[in-house]
Amino acid sequence: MSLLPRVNLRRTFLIARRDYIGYVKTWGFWISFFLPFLFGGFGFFMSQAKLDLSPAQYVTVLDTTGEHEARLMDLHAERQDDRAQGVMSTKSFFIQDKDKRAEFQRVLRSEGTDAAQAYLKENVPGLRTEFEMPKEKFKFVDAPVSTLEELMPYLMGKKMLSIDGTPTELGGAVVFKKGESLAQPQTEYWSTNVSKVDVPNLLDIYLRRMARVTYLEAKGLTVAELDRRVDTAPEAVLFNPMKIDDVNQGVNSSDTVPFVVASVLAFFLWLGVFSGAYMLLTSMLEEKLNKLLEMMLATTRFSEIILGKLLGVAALTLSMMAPYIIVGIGGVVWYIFFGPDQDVVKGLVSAFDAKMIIFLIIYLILGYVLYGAFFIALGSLSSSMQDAQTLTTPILFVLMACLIVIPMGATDPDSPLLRIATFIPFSAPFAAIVRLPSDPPLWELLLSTAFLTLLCIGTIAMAGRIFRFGVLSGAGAEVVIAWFRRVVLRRKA
Amino acid sequence: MTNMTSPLALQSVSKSFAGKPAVTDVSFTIEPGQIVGFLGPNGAGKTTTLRMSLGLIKPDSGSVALFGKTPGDDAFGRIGFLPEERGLYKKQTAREAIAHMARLNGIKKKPAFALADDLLDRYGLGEAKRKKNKDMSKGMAQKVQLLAAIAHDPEFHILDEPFSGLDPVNQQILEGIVREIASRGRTIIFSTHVMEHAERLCDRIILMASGRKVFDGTTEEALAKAPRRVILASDSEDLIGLVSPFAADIETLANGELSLTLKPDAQAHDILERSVEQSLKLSKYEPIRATLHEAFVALVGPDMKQPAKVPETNAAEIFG
Repeated sequence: MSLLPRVNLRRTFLIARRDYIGYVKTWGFWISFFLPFLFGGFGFFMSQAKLDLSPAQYVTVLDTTGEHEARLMDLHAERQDDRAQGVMSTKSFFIQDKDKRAEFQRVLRSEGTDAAQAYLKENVPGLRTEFEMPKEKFKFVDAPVSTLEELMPYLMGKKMLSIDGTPTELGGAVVFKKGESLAQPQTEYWSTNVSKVDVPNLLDIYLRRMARVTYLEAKGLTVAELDRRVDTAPEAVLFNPMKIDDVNQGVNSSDTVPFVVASVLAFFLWLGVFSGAYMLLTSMLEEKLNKLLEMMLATTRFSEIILGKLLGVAALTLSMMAPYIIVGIGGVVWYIFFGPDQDVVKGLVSAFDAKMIIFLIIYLILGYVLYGAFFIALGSLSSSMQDAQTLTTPILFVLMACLIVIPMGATDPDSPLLRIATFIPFSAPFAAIVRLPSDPPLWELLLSTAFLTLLCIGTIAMAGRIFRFGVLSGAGAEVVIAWFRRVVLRRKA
Repeated sequence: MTNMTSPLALQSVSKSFAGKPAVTDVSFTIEPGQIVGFLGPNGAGKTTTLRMSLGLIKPDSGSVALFGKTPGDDAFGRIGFLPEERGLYKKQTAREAIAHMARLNGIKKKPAFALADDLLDRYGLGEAKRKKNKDMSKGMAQKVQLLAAIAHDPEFHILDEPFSGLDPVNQQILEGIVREIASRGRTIIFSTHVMEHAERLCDRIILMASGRKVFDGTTEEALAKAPRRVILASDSEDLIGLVSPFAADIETLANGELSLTLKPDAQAHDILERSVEQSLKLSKYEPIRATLHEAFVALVGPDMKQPAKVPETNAAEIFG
C-alpha cells in the first residue's frame, strides 16, 4: 500500500486550472496584480506634479533679550544643512570606487554639501551632482509688530502677513524673554496649531545647545572645536573571525546583506503562505456554497480535488506576487551586473547561494502545504464566511505570531528563540530561512524539514478526512464545537 | 461496448451515524438498461444509499458492487451522478460548466466543448451557451447541471431527486431527457418522493422507509399493493347495505356519493353484479385507478408520518 494518495494528473490539472482561471477572471485579481504599478505610477505622478501637500508654516520671533534670535536662525540653518547632507550622502550609492566613496563621505561630513558637490564634479565625472533640497517644514519671517499683544490678531488669523505680496497666515511666534541667565531665557511658543511640533522641537534643541555652549565657553572651550573633533573621530572597525575568504576578516556590506536578503525572502515566504492559504479557504467555501463537489466526487478522487486546489491556488498566488517577484529579481540582477558597491554585489551573490535557493523552495512548498491543508479542512467545515472566520482565527494567530521571527533573523540570528522556532513546524519555514546566512548546522535544517514534512503528511491526511466529511454534510462551526464538548469537555450531547 | 455486468448490486448494506441507523439491511441489484425509481419520504435513507453506491460513504456492513467491483476509480467515466444538492460555478458559462465535467470524465477539450454546444442546443438552452451560470434561472441552471452530469454519455446514471425544484414544464422536459437516455440502453436509477414521475418513467420501483427497503418490484406489482376504490352513487337508500359485504371502508363524499375501498378478496365487478341481481339502479359506477402514492402509503403505513431523519454524516466519523 502506497503512503502517497493516487492521483490522476490530468484531472488534477483540470481542477487546478479551473480554480486558477476562476480567480484570474475576477476584478480583484487584476487590481491586486496591477496594484504595485498603480502605486508606482501614483508616486511618479506625485513627484512630477510637485504638489505642495504640506506647505511650510511661517513663524516669527519676538526676542526681547536681543541675544537669541540670531543664534536660533543659525541653528535652523545648520539643521537645514544637515538635511541637505543627508540627501547628498545618497549620492555615495552611485560611487563605485570604495576609496572615493569614503573620501566623499568625509568631505561631506567635515566640509559640507558645497565641498562634497565640488568633490563629485572633480572626481566622479558623469554623476549628477545637483540635488534637490528637502522642503522646509517652517520658515522664519520678520515680526510684523513688536509686542505679543499686537501679534495676537495675526496668530488667530484675524490679520494676515504679506509674503511676496500674498496674504499669508502666521503659523506661530517664538518669544524669548530674559531668564535666569543667557543660557536659560524664558522661552514661549505661541500657536493655534498645537499638534505641529517642528518649532517646539527646534527650541528644545536650541535651549540644550545654549546650556552646552555657555558651559564650554565658561571653561574656555568652543563648540566649533568640539564639533570638529566629533566629526573627525575614528570609526570602530568590525571583524568576523569566521570569515575565511578575506585575509583581513573585516566586516562590510557583503557580510550584512545576506541577513537582510534572508529577512526579505522570509517575509515574502510568509506573505505567499498567508495569501495562498487564505485564498484556499475562500476557494473551499465557494466550492461548498456552489455545491458541485459531490458531483465531482463521482468522477475524481478526494486527493485529486485537494491537490488540484493546492496547485491552482499556488499558481494563483505566484501570479499575484509576480510583479513583486519580477521587480525584486530584476532589481537584484541589475545590481549584481551594474551596482556600484561591490561589497553589496558580493553580499547579494552570496545571499542567493544554492543552499538558500534549495531550502527556500522546500520551505515554500512545505509551509504552503501545511497551512493550505489546514485552511482547506477549515474551509470544508464552514458553511458561511462567519463560520470560516470563527474557525480560522486560532490558526491566523499562529501565522501572525510567526512574523516575530523575521526581524529577529536580521538583528539577532543566534537567538535561542529563533533556534527553537526552527523546530516548531508552524514557524520553521520562516525561522530557518532567516537563520540560513548565519550558517546553522545542516542537521538542524534537516530535522526541521523532517518535522515539518511529518506534520504536513498528518495534516493532509486529517484534512482529507475533514474535507470528505465537510463536503458530504452541512457541517459548520457547530460540528467542531460539538466535538470539542463531547471529546474534550466530556459532556454528553 | 457496454459491459453486461450489473451496474449496481447492494448486499445487506447497513449504515448508522452516531448509533442512529440510517440504512438497514438493504439489498438490490440494478440490471443493465433498467429505469429504476428509488422512492421514499425525506429521511428514508435514499441519499445515504446512493452515496454508499458511489463509494462516497463506506457501509458499516454489507457490500456494494459498482460494475462488479468495489466503488472507486474503476467506475470513473462510466457514471453520471446528479446529487441532491446542486450548484454550478457561478462565473462559468453553461458550455464551460458542461465541458469541464466532460473533460473530468476523460473527453478532450475540443470535443468536450462541441458536446456541450450540441447538448445545449438539443435541450433548448442554445441561447444560454455563453450566459454565466449566475445569470440563469434556477430551472435552467438545474438543466445545465444535469447535462454536465450526463454529457460523457455514461453507462449508468444516478440521479438524486432530479425533479425537485423544477416547474411542471421543466419536469416534463427532464422526463423527456430521462426517456431519451433510456432509449440508448443506458441504466438509470433516480430517487424521488414524487410518485407520478416514477409511475410514468420506471420499469421498476424500490421503496424505502425508515432506512429499510419496503418494496422492490415492477410498477404494476406496486400498484397491486394499493387499495382499490370505487365511487358509487344511487337514488336508492339500500346502496350501503348492498355494498357493505365487499367494502373494507366506506366514505360518504360531500356530494352524497360513496367512496368504497374494496376488501382484498373483493372485485369491483362483484358490486355491479350484485346491483343487477338486486335491481338497484346505480347512477354512478367508477372504479378508481390506484396510484403509486396510494401503494406507497399502503406499504409504508405509519412510517410515512414519522420519517426517521438522521444526520447524513457525523462528526464522530472524522474526529473519533
